[in-house]
Amino acid sequence: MGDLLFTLSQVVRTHFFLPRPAILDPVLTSNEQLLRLEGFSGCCGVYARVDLPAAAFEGECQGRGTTNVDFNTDMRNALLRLHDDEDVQFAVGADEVVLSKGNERTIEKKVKMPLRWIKSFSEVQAYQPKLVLKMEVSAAEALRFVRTLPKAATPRMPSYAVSVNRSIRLSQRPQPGAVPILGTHRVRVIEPLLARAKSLRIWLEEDSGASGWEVCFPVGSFFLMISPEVFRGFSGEGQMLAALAKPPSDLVVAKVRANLKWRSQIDPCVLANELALGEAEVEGALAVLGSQGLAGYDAALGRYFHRELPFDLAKVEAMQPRLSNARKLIEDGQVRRLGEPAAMVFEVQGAGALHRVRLSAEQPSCTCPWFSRYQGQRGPCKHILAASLLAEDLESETARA
Amino acid sequence: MTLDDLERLLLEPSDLADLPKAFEGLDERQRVKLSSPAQRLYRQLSRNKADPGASHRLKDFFARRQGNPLMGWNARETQNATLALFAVGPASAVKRPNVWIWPQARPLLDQIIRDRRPDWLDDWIAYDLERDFHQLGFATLRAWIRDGLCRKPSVDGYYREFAAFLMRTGFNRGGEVAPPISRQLLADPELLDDVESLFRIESNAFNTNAWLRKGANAEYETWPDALVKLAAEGRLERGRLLDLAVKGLGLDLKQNQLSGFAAFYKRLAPRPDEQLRHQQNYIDLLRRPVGHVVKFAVEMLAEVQKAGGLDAKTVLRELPAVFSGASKGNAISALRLINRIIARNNALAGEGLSGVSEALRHSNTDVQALALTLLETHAAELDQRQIDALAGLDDFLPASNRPRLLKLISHRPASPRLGDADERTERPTESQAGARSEAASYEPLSGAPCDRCVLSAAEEIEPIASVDGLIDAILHAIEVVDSPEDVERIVDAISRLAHERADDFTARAAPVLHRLDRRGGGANGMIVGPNGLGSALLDLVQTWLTGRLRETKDADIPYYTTEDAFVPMIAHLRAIAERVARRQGRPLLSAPTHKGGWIDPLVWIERLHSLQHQPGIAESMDLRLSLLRLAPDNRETALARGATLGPPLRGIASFALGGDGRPGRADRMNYATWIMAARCRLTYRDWTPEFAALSLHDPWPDSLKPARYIWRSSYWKGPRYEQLPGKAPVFEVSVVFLGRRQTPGRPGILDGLVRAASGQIATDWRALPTAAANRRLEARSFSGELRATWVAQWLSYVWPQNPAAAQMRGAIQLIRRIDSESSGWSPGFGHMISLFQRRRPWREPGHLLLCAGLIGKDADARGLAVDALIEGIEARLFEPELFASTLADLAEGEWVKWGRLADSLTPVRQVSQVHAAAVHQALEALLAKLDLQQKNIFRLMEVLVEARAVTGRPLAKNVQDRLSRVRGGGRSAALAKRLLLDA
Repeated sequence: MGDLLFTLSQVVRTHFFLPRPAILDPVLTSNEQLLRLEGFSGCCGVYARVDLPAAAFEGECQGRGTTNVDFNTDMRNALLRLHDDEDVQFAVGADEVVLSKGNERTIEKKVKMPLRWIKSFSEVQAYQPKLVLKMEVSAAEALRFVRTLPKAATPRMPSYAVSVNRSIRLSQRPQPGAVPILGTHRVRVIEPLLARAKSLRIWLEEDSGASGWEVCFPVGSFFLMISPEVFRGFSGEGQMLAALAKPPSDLVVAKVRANLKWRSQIDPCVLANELALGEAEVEGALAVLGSQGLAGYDAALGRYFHRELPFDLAKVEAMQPRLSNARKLIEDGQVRRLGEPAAMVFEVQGAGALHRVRLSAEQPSCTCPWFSRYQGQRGPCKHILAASLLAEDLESETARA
Repeated sequence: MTLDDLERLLLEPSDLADLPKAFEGLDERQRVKLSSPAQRLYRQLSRNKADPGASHRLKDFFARRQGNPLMGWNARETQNATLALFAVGPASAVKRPNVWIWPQARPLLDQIIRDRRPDWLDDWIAYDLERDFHQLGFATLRAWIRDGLCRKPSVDGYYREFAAFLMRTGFNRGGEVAPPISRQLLADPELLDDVESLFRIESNAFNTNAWLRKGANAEYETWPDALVKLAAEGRLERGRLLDLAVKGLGLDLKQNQLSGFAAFYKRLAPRPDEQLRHQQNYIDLLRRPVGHVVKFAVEMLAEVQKAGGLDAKTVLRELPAVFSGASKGNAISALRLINRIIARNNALAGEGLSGVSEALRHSNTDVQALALTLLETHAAELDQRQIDALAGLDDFLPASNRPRLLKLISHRPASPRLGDADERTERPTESQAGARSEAASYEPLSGAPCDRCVLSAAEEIEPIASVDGLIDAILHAIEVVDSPEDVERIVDAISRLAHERADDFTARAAPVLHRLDRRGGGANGMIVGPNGLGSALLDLVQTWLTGRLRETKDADIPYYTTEDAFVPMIAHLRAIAERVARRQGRPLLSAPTHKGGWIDPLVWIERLHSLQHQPGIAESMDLRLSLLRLAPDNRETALARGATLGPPLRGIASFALGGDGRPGRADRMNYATWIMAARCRLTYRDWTPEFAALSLHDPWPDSLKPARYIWRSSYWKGPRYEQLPGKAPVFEVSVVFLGRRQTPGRPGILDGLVRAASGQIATDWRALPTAAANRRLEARSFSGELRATWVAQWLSYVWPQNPAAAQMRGAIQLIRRIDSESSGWSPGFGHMISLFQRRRPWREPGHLLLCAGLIGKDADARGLAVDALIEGIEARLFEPELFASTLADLAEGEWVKWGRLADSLTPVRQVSQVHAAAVHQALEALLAKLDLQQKNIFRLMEVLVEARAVTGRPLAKNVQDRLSRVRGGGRSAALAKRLLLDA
């Protein structure tokens, strides 16, 4: 457990892109089944999560809740000194975390959560339901693979984890089934864990290239998710925008929220039956709640879980400039439908040019440089969002008429 | 002071020194009154723009600046306004990121602060000291503290500045001779109290970098020098310094500083009793994730052990943590310490051996080997639990060490584990992957490329179908070109869709034009550079978008290389643009049908049929380029279908596809197309006899005669930088045919007259894409078209049957940057694409490119070279003997780094037995050609040991002879002995 938490704190205190001051405060969520610790690297491009099920503890979980505390040098050193066969107490309270071993007590106090994390948590929750399991290898093979990752001279182009027989190797060539890695140093953080792990599972969000690296232990797991590119923090992605632009009704969201009840696994299908709602509605509501920090997603279980991140929910939409810019475009009358309504082609004013937005069922497109570069990988651009919002408004108007 | 006075003071000061005097004696109420105007003035001056209500004086002032935006930032008036902020402003005004006092104005700041004594001073000092670049000098700060202007700051920045200021040298300080640190500390004894903080915060005080002493005088002291001296003089408590250093090693500080702590601790020469007192600290440090710290801890524990005071049980419990680190040295030291502990007290063997078995998870085979030796020595003392644990570790061992572990376990059979048997038969080990039947040997393919099929249905290129699709493709390509096929598809679609212009075309095209006009796009975007290929492509796209022919003349830009290889391609693009301007859409003959630049001959014949009546088609560059791209597949069928073509296309097509057609005297004016047809038919043949009737004077390699590349590897040695001796790789290539150099001398008048009299025509390389590809392989400067990755890739698509010229360019580029990391400015990995074509032999240029990739530092090129080697072995394109001789020739330059080659070959040999066999063969052939006493040659032997363990192949006799001559007690000699022993 010490190694897991230490590695989590390593991720949280590291800025993988540019040297910046460390942020040291993972978020802890506790309920009867699980203690879960989550955090982001300083650059917000790496998400790490430690899941410690009840079996990892001899005691009982006394309560439910979420807190976030610093992991300073004392705590990190205390974690490093932990042994499997030692009697250690780990107490998580609303305002502090205490690690006790014999007479030694290490206390960490609750701190304010950085704003970038709020957006990052939202985005990670949007990525995780789309993760697909690509490979699973033994810990020895995983360790062999991680040790081959370049240490000094690192590639500038994406590398790929490629399945070979029952092992993995690093490749510089995209190929079917390969998992892209930009910034191999970000994956290397799991190396110290692999010598004692059971296996490594690698997940991929195919549209964007974000990948998840789950180190499985006999009890508990460590989940590392890396953003598609080193310079791209999760906080700057736009995966939530579509959900936020067209959320389910407030009533549905409220109903689902009222039924989260600190569950460690939420099955949308079961919840939909319980609440007499459609499964898609529940999933939409969970996505919105995820964006507000009220639900997380566990890719390994394929389930949402309840946790309440300690931040002001009102800030969530305010921190989505693309969405607010899209709304402003509509307010300023800078979005116009072209041709037949069925064609779903719009003209949206951009910086110095009128962009064309096509809202097709498969993939919307826009002629702006942002969309041209990322092809929707980083979420819709403001022009597509504006066109979608207008299209919805026009549809509603038509329906009313 | 009135507002007008303030403005005049800032804009028209008679003397800068007058500024502080102007504020002297103002009380806080008067300063508050001036605060807002001063802030307004500062804001306007720093952004170089007057507010609407600004005075005439200020407006006139900005008018005189003539709107130069750069004038605002560092102008004297802005500096005056900044000082005014300190004189009259609140804390919020001076704590802004862009508020900056230049060094020359800092004495004025000192005067202003001393006069005003603002109540925010402590707050501002703390803010300034924590900035990345701060403006407050330590000497000034100390003076303010001494004079009671401010309190001593408690922020880390104060201690960082304390450390940096005292250790300053004359470098970058006008040759200032700073007193030794110990003297500075004694001159201001309060500073002695601050020494402790140097062990708590991250600073340069203990850094070991040599550059920190640059400009130092003869009596210069480093911080460790000074502290050791002061401790020896009794000014600082030595024991306390030891405590601080050992505690500092447990902090999350940069590695260089931790290394400095360790060295400082050792310089203080702790006595055995002090070492004993710190034993628990050493033990705690064993788990730190920094190699230097662990090394220190193991060394100190070894000292304690020698002195007989070791808490052996605790140490044995914690030592296995060392094996989770990457350091080989630390792991070996830890194993030796365990061995000594067991030797002194055999009762601890059980705990010790449990720790030793953890070393089997270490990445280094030597560590594992030593651990196995210890386990074998104490095999009798292993209990069943330990044997069981060892049985679960075999997956962590490489093939060379695994038999020893299995033997160890087999003496003491492991307890069966649930489900173990099934799992173990299924689980492939490194050595089991791949086909065992093929393990004994590896046989490369041989033969001419036209013998084989290269086309695959999965690699067909889908043409762009609509104008909207084309606009989207162009927009994406402006930002990033994912592969050269993107550009091929765009060029093809522009050519086909040139006549389709809907009413709203202008509106649809506007965003693209806007993006192009702003010269937007990514580094690997379609618009590459201002000249050559870049401008030709840009002209083509803009011609299509605007409907007006655009032809940019190449500007004379120094330091920008346009490749002669693209001259025919540029002519082709310009020809398309002319047709597009006339709105004459038609398919291209040269548009590839498959990835890699290939054209299916059946499609090509269809295209010829449909275009045969187009004027000038037989002489077009489009036809010549298409001939070079014809795949070896389907040629017979295509030949038959081409029989109904009209002349001259029938003859050209027949000749290219292997039919009976031959060029005749009448084809002289179209010699270029016929030569391309000949190159299409048989790539490496000398076609001079068949073209005799045309009476051509042809001095170009890969025109009528195939090109040959003669290269030489050497090194340049001499003064490079500040008189430091330097050594750089030199790699020279000559392109020849039939022993003749490529570049003919400028033809004399007499030559011309002789040729004219004999009726000869001189061929022009610009008309011959194959000849152009061999022109000037060396880039003239670091910047040019090949800076874009897709362009480098495209180069090998021009003549897919023979990408040798592209490969040679790639090798030159990679070798030039052999010791440089991946670069966004001049990426070299694009050339590697030519090694991934199925069934096309690599020949020597391909192997040269592969070698350059494998031994280079560029991680992108190296990764692709490893991939190419893996795939090349699977496709049997890799020729071990050719690879070895190429590398041996490169090694003559004495710049090849064998460690890099070993690192590159390791993942290859791990893939399968076939790969291990191929690597084995290549290394055998290579070692037979090298001086085995060379530096780091042992790294190749290590790979050979592992490859041998996997394949079980015997060593060739000549290699055994070479190995038997390796002398000395180094790693190479040890490995040579081991290889000979196993042989």
